[in-house]
Amino acid sequence: MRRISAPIALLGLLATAMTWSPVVNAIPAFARQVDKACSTCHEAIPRLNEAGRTYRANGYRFLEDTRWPEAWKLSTLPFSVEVELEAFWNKDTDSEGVSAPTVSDTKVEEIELLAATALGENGKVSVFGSLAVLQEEENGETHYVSELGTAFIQINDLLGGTGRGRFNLRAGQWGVALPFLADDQSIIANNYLAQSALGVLGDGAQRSVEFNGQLFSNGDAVVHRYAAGASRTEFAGEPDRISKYDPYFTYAVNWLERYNLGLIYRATHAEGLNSTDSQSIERYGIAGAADIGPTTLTLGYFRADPEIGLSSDDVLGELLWFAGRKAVFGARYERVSRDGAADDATAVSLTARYNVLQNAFGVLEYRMRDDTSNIVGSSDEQRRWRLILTLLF
Amino acid sequence: MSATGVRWLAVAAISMAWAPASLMADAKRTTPTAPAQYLALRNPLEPDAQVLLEAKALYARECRKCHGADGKGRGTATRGMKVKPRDYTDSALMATLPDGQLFWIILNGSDAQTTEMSAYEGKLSEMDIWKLVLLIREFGR
Repeated sequence: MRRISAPIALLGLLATAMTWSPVVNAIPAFARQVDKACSTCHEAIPRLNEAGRTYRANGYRFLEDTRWPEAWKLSTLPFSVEVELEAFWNKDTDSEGVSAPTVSDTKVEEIELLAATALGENGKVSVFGSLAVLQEEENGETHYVSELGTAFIQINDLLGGTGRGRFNLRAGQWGVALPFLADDQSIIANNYLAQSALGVLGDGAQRSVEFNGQLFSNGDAVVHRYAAGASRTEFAGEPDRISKYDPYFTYAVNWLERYNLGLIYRATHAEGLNSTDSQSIERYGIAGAADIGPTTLTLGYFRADPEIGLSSDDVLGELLWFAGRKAVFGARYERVSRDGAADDATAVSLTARYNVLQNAFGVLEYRMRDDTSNIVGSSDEQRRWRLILTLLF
Repeated sequence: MSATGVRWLAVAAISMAWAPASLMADAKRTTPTAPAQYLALRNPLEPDAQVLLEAKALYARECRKCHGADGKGRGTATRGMKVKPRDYTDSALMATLPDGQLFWIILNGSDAQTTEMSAYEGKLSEMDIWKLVLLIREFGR
């Protein structure tokens, strides 16, 4: 299949955005529904601020709303499209110190269709769906893969007053993470090491069912958000693994709209077709985030304890600086250690982002990863640049 | 430079930049002032029951999520905002804001760099905006 020329696609998409969106605050689906700019809920897309976390935890409703626009109205159609173009430059060295050839290219990283809305006169039901088309390379051939991402249905207000979101039931597939710390909210595009090494912070959409909700206290100065459910881990490439629904629990508290503290616990149990071949892993962690002036500091510690095998610890620190509405700078340091490993795996990501519009932005990112002990599966040293252009309709 | 050196340089640079950045005060309110011809305007509507009923419906639909049911400017959509909406129940503050200023801000929006107050020109009629101005005044009574 012919590869799309990324630079030409970029020019076309930017031209489309500039003409299709005559006002500076052009807005995708949720923003159209609530008639507010993206910045009402996002520090910078996709990172949610406290208003956005409240809105999301309440099934995509603001507490003050009492009616929701009909989903079929074109002006509030709950569909959005995200297009990501990527230029990459990789300079890797294997564990023996042998440098791999430098690899660089451009590609359409992803085209994603998203749909979400609260339905019904009281917003009793909320839905979310995402379908992504990804460009992949295999044996020198380019092909496109479609993938259903986060998708769920949530029944709101099973207990508590209408529109409060105190006790909801959700079923579908999503990544288990914390409300303020998750891969799908990260401004730094690089994945967390904790995702692949420990299976937390959003390790892909897992089939799950949960009860969740948010509770306000101290005159709304303190917000408690919880989720308790069961998810099923898919073992890609391991057809002999039989996975079950295993429990997880997350709890996060926000106070004074600026400070967040969260706990996460997740168990995984899988059996092989031979019933003696089973594996259980318990994962847990604690993280905190603080908004200090124009910056946000996030710190986290996570651990994975397998029933059989070696335990792993993950420590991460991330600093974001929101320099006005137009620019964001970020730095992340993460280290994963494993019992018995000669060296830890470490990753440093440095990000600079410029918002052309609220829904169109470019990211320049430099990534350094050292994993010579093969803790996170790469067994090499990576030095990589990324230039990512994102457009949302 | 070794990878370790680059890491430590990055940490040092970030630390040096973060210290002054974090000491910076939060964003300050920079509400634009309406032109003189708007400041001179007076609300053509009287606060009768029907007008206030219509104003409350408009407010519930367009304003309440930010300005709050009580007009104090602490609706859930303001959570995390560095610059919150004004407290309409502060009668001393509201006495300094003429009707025309309130009308003009609703019509044109406020400072886009520090607030989320967007323009309602084209979304609300001028009479609807005057109804909202009437209701805003009621919060301070």
